[in-house]
Amino acid sequence: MSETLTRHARLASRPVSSRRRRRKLRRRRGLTALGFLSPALLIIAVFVLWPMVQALRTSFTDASLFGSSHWTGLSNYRKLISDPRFTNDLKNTAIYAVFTTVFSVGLALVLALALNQRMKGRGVFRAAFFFPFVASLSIASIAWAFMLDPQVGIVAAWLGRIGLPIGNGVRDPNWALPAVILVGIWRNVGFFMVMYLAGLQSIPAELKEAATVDGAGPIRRFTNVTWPLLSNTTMFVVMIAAIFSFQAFDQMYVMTSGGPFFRSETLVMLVYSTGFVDYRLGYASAISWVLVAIVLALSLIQLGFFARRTVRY
Amino acid sequence: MMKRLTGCAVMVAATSLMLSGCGGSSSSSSATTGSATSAGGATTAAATSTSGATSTSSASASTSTSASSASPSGQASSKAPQGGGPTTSITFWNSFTSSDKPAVEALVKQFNDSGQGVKVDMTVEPFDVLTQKLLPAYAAGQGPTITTLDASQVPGIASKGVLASVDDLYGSSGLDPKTLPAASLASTMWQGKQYGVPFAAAGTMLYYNKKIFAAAGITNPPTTMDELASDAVKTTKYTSGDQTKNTYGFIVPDHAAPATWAVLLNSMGGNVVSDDGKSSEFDSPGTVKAMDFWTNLIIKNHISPAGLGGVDTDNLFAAGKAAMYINGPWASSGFKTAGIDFGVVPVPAGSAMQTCTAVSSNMHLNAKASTAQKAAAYKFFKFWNSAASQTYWAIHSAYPPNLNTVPASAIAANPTSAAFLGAKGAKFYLPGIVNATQIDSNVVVPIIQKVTEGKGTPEQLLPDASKQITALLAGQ
Repeated sequence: MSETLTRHARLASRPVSSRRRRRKLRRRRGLTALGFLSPALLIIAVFVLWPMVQALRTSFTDASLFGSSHWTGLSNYRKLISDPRFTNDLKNTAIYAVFTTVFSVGLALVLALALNQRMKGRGVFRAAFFFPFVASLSIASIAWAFMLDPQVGIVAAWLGRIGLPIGNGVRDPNWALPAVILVGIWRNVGFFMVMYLAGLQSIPAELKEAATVDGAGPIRRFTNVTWPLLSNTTMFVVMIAAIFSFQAFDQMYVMTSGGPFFRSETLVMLVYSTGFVDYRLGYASAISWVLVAIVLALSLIQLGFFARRTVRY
Repeated sequence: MMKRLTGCAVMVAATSLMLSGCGGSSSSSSATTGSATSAGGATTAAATSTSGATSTSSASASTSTSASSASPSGQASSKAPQGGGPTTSITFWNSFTSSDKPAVEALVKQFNDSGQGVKVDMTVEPFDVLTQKLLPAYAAGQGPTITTLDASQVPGIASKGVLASVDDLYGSSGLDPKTLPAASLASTMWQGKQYGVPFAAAGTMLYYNKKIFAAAGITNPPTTMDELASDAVKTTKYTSGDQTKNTYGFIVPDHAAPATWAVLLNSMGGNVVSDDGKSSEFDSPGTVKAMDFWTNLIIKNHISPAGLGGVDTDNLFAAGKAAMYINGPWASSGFKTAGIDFGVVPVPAGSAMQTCTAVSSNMHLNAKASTAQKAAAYKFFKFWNSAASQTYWAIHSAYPPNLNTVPASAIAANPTSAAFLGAKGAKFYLPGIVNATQIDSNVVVPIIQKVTEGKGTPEQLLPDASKQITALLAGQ
């Protein structure tokens, strides 16, 4: 009898002790995670968060490289609104972002679908499309500027021969922005393709087989199985593509220096030229913070949009 | 859900900042910088002319010539030199990255080996990189003892108080200003004090392609601007569409090159800023007339593509697709390599004057240099501007000598240097103006690009541009 009681007591006490143990375990796990994360967190705090806070402070002053700076409140931000160069660059950045994001992601998906098939030379094609992402963009941009040069460029010559003249090439006010957009797409499409390939390969084959058995054709299989299951990848790729495009700098700097007459100048270029050519650090910091706010807002909107469409399986 | 959102948002913000940092640092190359208003910019940009790829490779290379390792005896810097006393080390930054670099290195090595107790530690970097680094380096107290600057940069940098006056270098025991390029000395004066020591000086000249001239039946290069214009029209072969077969009569760069437009405006009585640097003349009748004249030739007669940079013009001339253009001496070596049969003549006289762009690179002393460093720097300044060094410089670079006491016969071994002694009426573009870079890259260049693209006439655009220049002159 007493033996049974003891057993009962033991049984009753078990959940309590196991809960405590679980909590302890969780705390220990949390500490371990923090331990692993702390080097990265430290680096981010020192090299990212601290400069960001400093830049925010600078954006409220008239700081230059030399001499004392004065607190000017919101004057830099107010000046931005009426600065035609800023609004022009904001427009350029928006156009650049929309076109590079849409086309690089769309093209990446098509390429990934194509290169996910069994075919000869698949590895070569995958590597070739990925290559621009690892090559130095500055050097690639010099090559592009040469190829698109209307007088000495090979691409310009081909296009001219088939009746598609590109005007004055990257120096043409109508072609400067499209040219840097083209390079932006060329640069990123391989990276997004690899992301999509990874996404495609993580889709269980039996789902597609089941759809095939149910009589779905290739298009139905794509719209009803593949595309929904790729939504996590699409979210990641679209967000990264948007962020990349807001930070575009290299190819404009190298190919057009933002010209002609600021037609291909983006916000990051404006930050550069205001901060590091004119040394108006206060104003440059204000532009940077506007850029941070735009990217942040856009990313939150995208997160909200995709969060409702995420599929778990 | 909200927590995840915030977490992601922080991540996104952090990544975006980190990535934007990467963007900036990976693009220090390139000769197409918009900030290279000046001839010095073109010195680096243009000299590696024949291919853009060449200018990048030189751009990415930053060499530090350590003098002690270069000296034949391997003499350590701590050892006492022949003259006794300790060795003073001074740093020297310059942007002679291209064909003139070996001549600079050889002269610095000669100086370090000359037993004067000074070791010059030289860093050669592209013009735009040096310009970007210089003011931050001075602000951090890490500036070089000596740096070269383009004359147009001097007011902007001297006004920050980081350069020392070198008035006491000129005089009975030092350099004789009468023997040195007057334009270089004048352009490095700031608020009544002398801040510069001539390093390299030249005036731009007209390059012309003899083969294209012969094919068009022109026997002599132009001597007036009207002749230049008619020769340009005669030598232009233009069809729209496939432009790779076009030949252009007279190509005019509007950025990252020695100011060709300023020469064209000046020749016909126009100007960007008055010669005293006090007021804008960008909408004066002379400027409007000159800009109309050349814009017409560019738009209607296609004598030049619009929007060209210094490297573009060098490439076109080196490819034999341009009959004429104006540039400094450094470009010649690239054309020789490219096998172009070219001649060099003074820029033709216009209706108002005969002029060309003065290209002047000068040495400047750090305001924080110690007494010993200053003495050491002065020894180098005198060495550089000695007759022996300048003869060597003129023969081994494309520049004419700084000293007018070096006879042309002494540099006959280098015909290009000798020819550039003939540049006429050299004038600085935007001299003595603190905001010279902003005036050029934020106002003048975009306006010229708009006008030459046919997006407005000088009559429409110049008055407003002139107001912007007036504001920049007032320091706003």
